[in-house]
Amino acid sequence: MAADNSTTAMQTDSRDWADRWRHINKILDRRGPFCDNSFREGYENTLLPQCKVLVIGAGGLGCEILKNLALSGFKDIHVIDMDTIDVSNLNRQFLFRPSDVGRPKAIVAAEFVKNRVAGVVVTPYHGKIQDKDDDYYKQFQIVICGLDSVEARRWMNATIVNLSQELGEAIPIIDGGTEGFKGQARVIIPTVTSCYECSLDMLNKPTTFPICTIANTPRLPEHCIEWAYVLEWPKVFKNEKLDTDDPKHIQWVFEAALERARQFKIAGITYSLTQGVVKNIIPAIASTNAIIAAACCNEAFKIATTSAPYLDNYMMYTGNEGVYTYTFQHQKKPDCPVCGENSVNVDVNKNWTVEEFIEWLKEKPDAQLKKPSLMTADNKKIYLQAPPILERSTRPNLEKKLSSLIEDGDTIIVTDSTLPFSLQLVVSLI
Amino acid sequence: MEWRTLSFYRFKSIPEKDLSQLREKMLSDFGNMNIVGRIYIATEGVNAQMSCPKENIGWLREYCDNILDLGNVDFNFATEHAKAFGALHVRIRKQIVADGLESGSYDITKQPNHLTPEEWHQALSSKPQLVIDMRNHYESEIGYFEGAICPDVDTFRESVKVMEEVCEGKQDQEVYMYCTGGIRCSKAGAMLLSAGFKSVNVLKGGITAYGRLWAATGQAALESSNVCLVNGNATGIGFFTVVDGRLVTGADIGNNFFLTLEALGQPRAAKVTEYLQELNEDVKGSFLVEDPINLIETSPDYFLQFSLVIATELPEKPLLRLAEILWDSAVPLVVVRSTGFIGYFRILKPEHTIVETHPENIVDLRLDKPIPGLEAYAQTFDFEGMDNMDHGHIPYVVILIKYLNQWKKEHNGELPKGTQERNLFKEAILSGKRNSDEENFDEAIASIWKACTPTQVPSKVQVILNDLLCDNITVESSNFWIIARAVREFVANEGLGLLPLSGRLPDMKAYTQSYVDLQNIYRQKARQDVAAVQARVDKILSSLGRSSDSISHEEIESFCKNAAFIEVIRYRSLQEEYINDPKKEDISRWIRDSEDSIAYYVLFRAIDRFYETFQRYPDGATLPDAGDDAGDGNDDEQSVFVYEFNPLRKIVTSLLEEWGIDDSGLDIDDYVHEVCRSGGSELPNMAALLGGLVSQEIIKLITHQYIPLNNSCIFDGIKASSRTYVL
Repeated sequence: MAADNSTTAMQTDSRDWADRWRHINKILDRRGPFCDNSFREGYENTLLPQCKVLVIGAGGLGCEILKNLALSGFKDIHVIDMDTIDVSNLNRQFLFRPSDVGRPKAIVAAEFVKNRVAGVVVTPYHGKIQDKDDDYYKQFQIVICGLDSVEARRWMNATIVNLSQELGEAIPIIDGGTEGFKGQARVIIPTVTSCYECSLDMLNKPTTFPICTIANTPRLPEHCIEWAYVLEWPKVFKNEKLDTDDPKHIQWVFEAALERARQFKIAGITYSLTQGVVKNIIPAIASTNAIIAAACCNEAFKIATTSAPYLDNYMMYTGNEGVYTYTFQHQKKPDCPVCGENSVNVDVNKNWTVEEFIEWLKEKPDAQLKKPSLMTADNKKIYLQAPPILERSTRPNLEKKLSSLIEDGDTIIVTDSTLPFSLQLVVSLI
Repeated sequence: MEWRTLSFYRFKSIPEKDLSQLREKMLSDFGNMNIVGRIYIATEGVNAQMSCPKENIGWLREYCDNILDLGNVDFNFATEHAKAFGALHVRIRKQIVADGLESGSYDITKQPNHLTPEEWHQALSSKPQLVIDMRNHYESEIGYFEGAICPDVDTFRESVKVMEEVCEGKQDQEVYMYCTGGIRCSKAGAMLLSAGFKSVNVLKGGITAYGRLWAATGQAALESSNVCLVNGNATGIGFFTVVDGRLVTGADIGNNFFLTLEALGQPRAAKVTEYLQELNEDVKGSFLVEDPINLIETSPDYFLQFSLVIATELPEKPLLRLAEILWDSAVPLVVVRSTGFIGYFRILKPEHTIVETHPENIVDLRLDKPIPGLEAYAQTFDFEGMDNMDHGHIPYVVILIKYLNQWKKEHNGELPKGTQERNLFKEAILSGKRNSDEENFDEAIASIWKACTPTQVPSKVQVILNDLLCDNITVESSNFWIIARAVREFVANEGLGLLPLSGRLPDMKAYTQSYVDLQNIYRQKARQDVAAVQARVDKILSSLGRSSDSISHEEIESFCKNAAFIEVIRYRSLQEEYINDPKKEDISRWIRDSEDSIAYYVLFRAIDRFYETFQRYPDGATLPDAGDDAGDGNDDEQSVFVYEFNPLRKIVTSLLEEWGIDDSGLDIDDYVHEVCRSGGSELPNMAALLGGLVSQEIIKLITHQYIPLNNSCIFDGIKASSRTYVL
């Protein structure tokens, strides 16, 4: 039934009506003083009619982005999202209605926009970004990310930057993110500007509590929640990893934390606090999403039309006290593992064991690794997290000193299942 | 497990012989989905209330659509989501809603008009004769629509009887009815229509559809707010009214996500209202198709009914007039404008007070003047006699108290002053640290500066407490000023020169027990302070002849907790900005900074003057190439340039001159050119961005939470940066 609808919509509405693009055409039909030299007057001389733009995420930001792109004259929009619609999304993800609950976000959003804006084709994919390969991604001229996860962003960034390097042609990434009243919009031109990986150390370090506080002297409700999911969960479910997206798991953590808080007479454990602590999330605000999504689409519009210079390259936004933006050029990191030189020099204490070295890697703010595996440049295994057979065979190395396995100046190749690339560390033992 | 609690119903004919099979099927299928709840099935349809595991909602949706064939039935989700039922029951009933009538005595397929909340509101505003509340008396007691007949009944059967009585012989009248979720009216409506009534209208989704989504304290304020949108295009509040005299154009549809071609030529006010409604069906809206400029002239008082007015696209004169009317009645006004990549908005309100400013850190430990019980408690810690484990868990508050006491004993009761003394004090604390792992001592050292800074009323707050409005408390005084006055008296008396305590204790290395003990000491003092302020508020209220519960305890408590961070913003009026007292010096300074955006402000002002002269806005400039003289076959461009750029540029010069700013040497031609080029166009992205910024500020203004903009903001979409100004 949905397919029928869209075809009739296409047939009757593909024609533009009088004045439809009056507002946009004022900008596109006339050269302005800040225009790039390559600007040519007229909609047909811009990239808009044939530009393929990919939107990653159809959530709070994604809904806004899809709407804005369609109204801005983009014709061929693709969207990827792996989630289905939950009733809690309805208050700000305005493309969804109560009757859509349970359906895939990407598909519902695409249909809504297609039916609303005549002549726009929105192609949804309900699944993971990792399902798609280079052949898929290279068809796009612009990629806009409206994501809430660091991991997904890193994966997208690395994939597009690598692809741009291979093609010898940059596919711009526009990345938007929000957290409460704060947000940012940035333009990444692979190989030219800094990339997402370059700015990893700008991320706020998630609040962590010392294990002994969690284990022995909880004082805040957060301590009880951490106890439940850091200490209790692995004890009770030895082989099952906690899945922060699984409501059953969160419910278990919530109940365990509640019980512990009761013992210690600590008040204030709620389900949403549990979710917040475990997933490390700050609730989204609709107006911040609108602002950041619009800023991202404004950049896409400028890139596709050259009607004004695009953002170079980072805008930070805060709205809890008046309106504040800080626009600056974020610097490329020369040793960025994604867009920079291939290897990074690191100083390592020569007395460290492999295990201590791994702990240090996990703490390193510009690496943000979860389960790193280590090999030498000539393929000797130092420690591998998977498959289990290799993990078992390399486990004894954990207690060995790193200096017994490599020489000063050797290169260690670090891989992590969450990363689409490897880190090459040139190790100085000191 | 995370649950979703929902209800749905559908009138549909089910053969009686199929019911028991359907029951078995539902029991097994819903059981497999882990659904619990109560489902009634009858020959007339299905009525279900259930809790469903969140991850199975998609499954349920498909099941209802494809297996039960309920025709895209609306799921009504509850606001609270917990497992609301113990088990799953599917019951076969004679009817899904018991009406006490013989089956077949009316035709259930004759369905009344289901009005959306907005249509409902619209309809009720004309005060129809027959509005019937189909709920039971205990439901209507909570609240009902004005003019509605509320039968004093306990069951739907009785409601039906009353309905029949009051409607008797009124077949030609319009009947309006509502209930909690809509199902009872579906039935009652069908009865009336079967009995020959011509027009029966019911509230779709019932009262529930009105009150979803909004929960928290600020949300309550939003819900009761009433916002007027002049010429506007987008926002979302509790109740809104759109005033616009124009008709929808092709350009409006091109720019507006919620308008389709069918809207072409219809009143813009009506269509905009409709789409805002679609965005959030719980928001109530109305519209007025009239030119706002006329309205401002002929019936300015019209605007005073609103809690906030947003104005876009108003020329200077009517804008000034509107601003003046609203200012005198303290109704906030937000002015919004955009052209091309440039956006501007300005907030106007005589006074805005904020208690919940949401500062990052409201900790107030008062170690220089320990609160009652704190010192005695600190003395229960025998530092020397403790083992290492205990010593490493002394709360840093206790550590600081101990060392400060020692210091004060040696320094005539004075706190450490200056860097040198503070360093000595730090040495003293360090000497008590047993090993490098003692984080509690590190925490103490990190707080030395705060501990050595005498606690006092912050100067910003002192200014507020000394305000004239705090001196002269009258029956007109707002709650804010009455509590502020009580706090001022508190500070002067039992507060001993200090504000009420916030009572918030930061986390610190400590055993659970000692942390809880400390927390109780602080909380107790905070409670005492609130009680003292409450007593003073009561006294003031009684002297004003107001009842003591006219200011809630929560409001006083919140004020006390946030006392050190309260804010009062006094905006400048548009009269001051435009006529009496323009910010000449500031503008002159800003405009010389090439990174600044103030030139666009000057241009928005200049555009208004242009409009006054030419009765249109500047539109269309393509600067000729520098070497490209006139007569080069480029006449069009040249003339456009002359007719748009030159006059606007001249207006800019004279405007600056009025402000005593010499514009020779100022590099503003490019700005003038860009504004001519954009020709007042509203780019969808800029509209969305501005809409986001403005709604954020409106929410702050209405909820009195967080600190709103004071007073103007320019967003430059070319540079992707914003600037704010006090103009």
